Amino acid sequence: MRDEPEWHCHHTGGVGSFDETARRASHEELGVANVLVAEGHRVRTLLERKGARTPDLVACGTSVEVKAFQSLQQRGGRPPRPEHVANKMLDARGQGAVAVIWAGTSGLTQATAQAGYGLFCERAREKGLGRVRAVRVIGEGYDMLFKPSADLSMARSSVAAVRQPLQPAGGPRAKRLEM
Amino acid sequence: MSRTVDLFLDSDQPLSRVAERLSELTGNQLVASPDKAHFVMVAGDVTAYLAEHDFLDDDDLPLSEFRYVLSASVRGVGDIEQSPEVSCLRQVNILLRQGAAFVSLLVIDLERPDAPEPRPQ
Repeated sequence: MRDEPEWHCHHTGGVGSFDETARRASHEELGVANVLVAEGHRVRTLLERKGARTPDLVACGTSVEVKAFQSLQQRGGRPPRPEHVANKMLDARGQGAVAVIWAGTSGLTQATAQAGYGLFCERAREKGLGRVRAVRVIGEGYDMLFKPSADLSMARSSVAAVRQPLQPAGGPRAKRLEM
Repeated sequence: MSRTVDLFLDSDQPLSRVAERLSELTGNQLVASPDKAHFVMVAGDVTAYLAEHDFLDDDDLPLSEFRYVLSASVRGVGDIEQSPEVSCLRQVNILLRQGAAFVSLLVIDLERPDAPEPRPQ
């Protein structure tokens, strides 16, 4: 598995671009693309290749996989649980260097997203991170960025140092992004 | 893609044997990836991947009871229930049950079981 860096680029201002020539984006992919474009990235959709798992988007050369939740209404009023969040992250591992969980109007809270990331890290510690280098959760009024590579290596160091897990329940802390 | 449909199935057989059995049942040859970590099934416009999984259990979804998953990304933007991917894996699920091949569970978007079929009157 190729080890991709998270982002190659640094944007100090200005709007990027979005190219849907290869494939029409879904609503959720468009939502994520708009966020990335506003940050200055050059974003494009990818055509799925038969027989190979492909990411949804490429942003300035970095593969981005989008995982979305249905609306709270479509979910029968039940917001996502931490296990749902973790499974979306686990599912994204093979497809993109950056996994973006698009919470939309699902009712996903920051606390649940954080707990889900904790579960994801526990499982990824056993089974590996795959291609994912960064995980981002975008919900109503929040945008959280996690660095699982760093969090897992930190946890491994801690385990090596004291020979017992130090990771608290709820997992590593997310970096809060300004929206 | 942002949405998936997953057919979880359990067997004590190795992945290659499960892929063989699925090929027999569906008439679609499952092809091994170069590292043999997964198999690919192409059925018309639908591409599905068979592999072991490590998804977590939810109240309604005892996923850890199933060793393997046949997973397809939903390419369209419309109702997932009407997608060719759901239709395809529903058909595979029916074939599995008719053939009594594997215990299986069809899951929509890793969040809910597929709606049960109406019982005959």
